Amino acid sequence: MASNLENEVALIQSARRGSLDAFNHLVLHYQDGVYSLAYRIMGDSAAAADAAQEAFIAAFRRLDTYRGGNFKSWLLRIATNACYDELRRRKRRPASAFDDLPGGDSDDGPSLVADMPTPEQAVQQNELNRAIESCISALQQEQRSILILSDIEGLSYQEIAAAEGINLGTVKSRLSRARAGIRQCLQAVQELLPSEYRLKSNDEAI
Amino acid sequence: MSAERNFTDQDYELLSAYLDDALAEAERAALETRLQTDDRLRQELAALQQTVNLVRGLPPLKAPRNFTLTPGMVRPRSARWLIFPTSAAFSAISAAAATILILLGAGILLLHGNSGSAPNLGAAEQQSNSQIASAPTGIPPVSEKTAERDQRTADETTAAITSVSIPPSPSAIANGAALPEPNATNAVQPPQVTNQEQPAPGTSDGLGYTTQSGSSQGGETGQGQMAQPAAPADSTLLYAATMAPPSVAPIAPGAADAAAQTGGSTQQENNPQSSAAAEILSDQIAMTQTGAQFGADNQDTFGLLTATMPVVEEFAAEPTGTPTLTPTITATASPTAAPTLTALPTQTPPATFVQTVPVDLLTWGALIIGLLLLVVAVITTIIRRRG
Repeated sequence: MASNLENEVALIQSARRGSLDAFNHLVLHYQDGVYSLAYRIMGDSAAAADAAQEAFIAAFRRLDTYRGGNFKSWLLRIATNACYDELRRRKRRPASAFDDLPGGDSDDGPSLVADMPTPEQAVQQNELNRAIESCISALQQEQRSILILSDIEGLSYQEIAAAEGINLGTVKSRLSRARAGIRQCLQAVQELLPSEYRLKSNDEAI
Repeated sequence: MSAERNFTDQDYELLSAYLDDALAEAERAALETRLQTDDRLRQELAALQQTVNLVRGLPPLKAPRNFTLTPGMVRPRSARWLIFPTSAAFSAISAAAATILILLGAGILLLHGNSGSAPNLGAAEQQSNSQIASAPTGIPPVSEKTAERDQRTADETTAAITSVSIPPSPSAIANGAALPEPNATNAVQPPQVTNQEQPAPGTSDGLGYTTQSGSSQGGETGQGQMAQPAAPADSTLLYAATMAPPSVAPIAPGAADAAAQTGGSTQQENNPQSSAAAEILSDQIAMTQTGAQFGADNQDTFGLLTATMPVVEEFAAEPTGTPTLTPTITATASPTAAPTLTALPTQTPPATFVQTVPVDLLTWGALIIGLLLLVVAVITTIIRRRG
């Protein structure tokens, strides 16, 4: 995600006064981040796109609730809620950890920004990423959103607490459990991982 | 994995927060001390770091399309079925307007218990207030304004009033000027009245009774007295309206009582009358009536009042309200008023109706519109919140 817009404050002010053009500048700047969040929460490209669109519509309508501070975290909070709404609407349970493992055909996955070095590396990296995403999808929803906001979107504990409406202690404990869950999940499928990414078990470590 | 049993959730939380540099200084120092001596804890930290790095290493995704908004996307949903905007400003304005209208309507109702006369009083009050304010005695002022009220009220009260109005005859005539023909009576007759201030004393008779019952018309007869009372009533009314006089009972002794009574009667039924009386009073009263005169008048009135008592009793409750003013007013007004009343009623009837009805409509209209605006404010707020 790109760094903050130089004129972000001015754009927000214009958007608050009803300027759709100004808001669309913000949309273009943050849409990848919002979509990434949505995709990792939803685990589905189409659903993520729908949720991202709804998030921006909701954000424009609720601009008067933005009280300054980190606009991105405010936006991601709305996006997170949009994803939850979309999930409820679809009454769709998150994909289980292994439904979308490499070889699965349920989702071709999102287009990636990063250029793929070599075909072989690309395949390996792609498999690894899909394994990680599957493990993320397998987390409980409350842990998943915390993990995404922290380790993918890069929000601080304070920003996450504000976005989720929870206290710092809850952020710490949920994030810890989410990371432990990812670790456990990846260990279970480590044979799929490149050797350099395989997690060592404690027994091995010792 | 067995080694993990040695570590608690608390330990993992510390490690997780340590990776994010989110530990307090003391916690961080304590954990680092443990890490130096505990290989397995260090191993856990390494594994956790690797996991976090894997997640953080996920490539950023690119939105499959632009999510820019179009005007159609952000058009307020409510606009499709609501004819009014749902902005916060609209809700706030609606709520404010609703509050003002409801308070206004409720205030009018509370101040003038009787919806019927209330309107008249309201008008009268305005006028009278100004007058009253200026005139210490209060009597003079009343007249002008009262007159107007009377006119308005006259119509309504006609029946009751009629009786009252009638009285004017003797004194009124005597006094003056143009007093409407005393006998002419109720109906409309001489409008404006002559108002000779003091007609009252002279005329005063028991005639008033007739009028009281509403029979009205006793009119012509000695209503002079009655007239007086009426006048006071007017003044009282005015005061009451303005001041919203609670108490009242205190009214001055004899005169006061009389006045009160009359006033009461007048108020209820005859607000109009009073107004007429007021007019007269104003004209004439203003001119004269000193305290002494008043006293005299009062006495006269008193007699009249007594005579009229029956009528008065009916209104008694209300009259009381005006006490303070009453005394003065009574004195002054009474004489004059009587004549005036007669005349005025006749003249003003139409006016009264017109004004009376509107006031009621305004009162209830304000309440109803206020409630509707309140509902609108609530609905728009709910819609906005959901939106």
